[in-house]
Amino acid sequence: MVTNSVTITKGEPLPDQERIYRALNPKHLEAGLPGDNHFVMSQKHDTGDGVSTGIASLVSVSELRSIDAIRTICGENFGVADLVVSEVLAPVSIFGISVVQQDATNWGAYAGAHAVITGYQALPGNDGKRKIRDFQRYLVKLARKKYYPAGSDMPVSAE
Amino acid sequence: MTTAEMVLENPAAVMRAATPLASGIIQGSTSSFDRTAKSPVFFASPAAPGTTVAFWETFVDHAVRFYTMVTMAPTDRSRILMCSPSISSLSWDRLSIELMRIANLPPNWDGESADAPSKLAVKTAGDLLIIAQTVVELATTAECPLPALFPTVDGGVLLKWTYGDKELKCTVVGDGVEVIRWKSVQAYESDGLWELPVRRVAEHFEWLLTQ
Repeated sequence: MVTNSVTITKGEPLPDQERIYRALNPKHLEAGLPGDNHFVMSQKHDTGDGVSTGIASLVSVSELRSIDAIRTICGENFGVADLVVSEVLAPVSIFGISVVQQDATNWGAYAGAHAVITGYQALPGNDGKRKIRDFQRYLVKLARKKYYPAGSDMPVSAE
Repeated sequence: MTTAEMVLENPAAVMRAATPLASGIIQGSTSSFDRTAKSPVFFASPAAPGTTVAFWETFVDHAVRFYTMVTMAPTDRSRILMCSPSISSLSWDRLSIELMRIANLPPNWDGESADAPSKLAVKTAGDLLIIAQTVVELATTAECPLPALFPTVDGGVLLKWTYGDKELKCTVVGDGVEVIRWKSVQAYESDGLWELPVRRVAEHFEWLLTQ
């Protein structure tokens, strides 16, 4: 897939400059802000699974909000975090974590616009668990740095 | 520090004279407060000299717990030396209420198949709050913000606490606590991750409150 001069290859890591959107389940908000439960990662997760995101060059915020599979979970009104792949991976690419395009059949017309943050499952032992917690905290901070509040198409920052 | 007069009555007199405080009373408190006195007058159960007596006074929007040392023989009246206001317990009570709310979450409370918080995790989180409150009360720190509580998707309870530049997270799963902490809110990497029984978390709370 080529759009806006960015090439997205199925099943492959996204380019660094790509942005990704994370739907923010309202039930997971912490005092109205993105929280830990929006980025749940565990060594027990299946390899190849990961944190589900939308590829910004293939799906807009309003289009993401129209996807039935997401609306079923998050309701009609939910926020969306806006993350840059290079920023997401800055502290963790050396650990083998990546953002990979992965078709999501339940995303309907936007199936190809799905990507997962993955690779954390392979981090071993207690130190691996600590690295995952550090990464989770970092993702929450990034999400708070730029997100679209529920019902708004203007991004805000809580940082 | 403020001074006040404490009237020590015999238990029968306390029962007759003590009236529950007005709205905002802390449940269980039976101390009375004479607002007409130039100095506040508190009625409390008799206690031996040298005993520390604690009692509550509620104001419009908060409650203060006073501690006082009895110095005179508890005959008719005794003078309070000093009343040292302690921190309000209302905020901690609110945390307990939040924990109760978390405890009542059903399975799939988030629409993404989250587990309901386990009874054991809730009980352990309650113990954790008591330890946290105790550490705060014993610490000689300036006012510090209270921790925040959140449910986790795997049936646990998460306690997040930031004080100054330090950050601490305690994830309660069952009867154990996973503790992770950061020397600075700006730091990426944590100091360490510990998996502990709840009684051993106090030292991490003390670390947080030591600036």
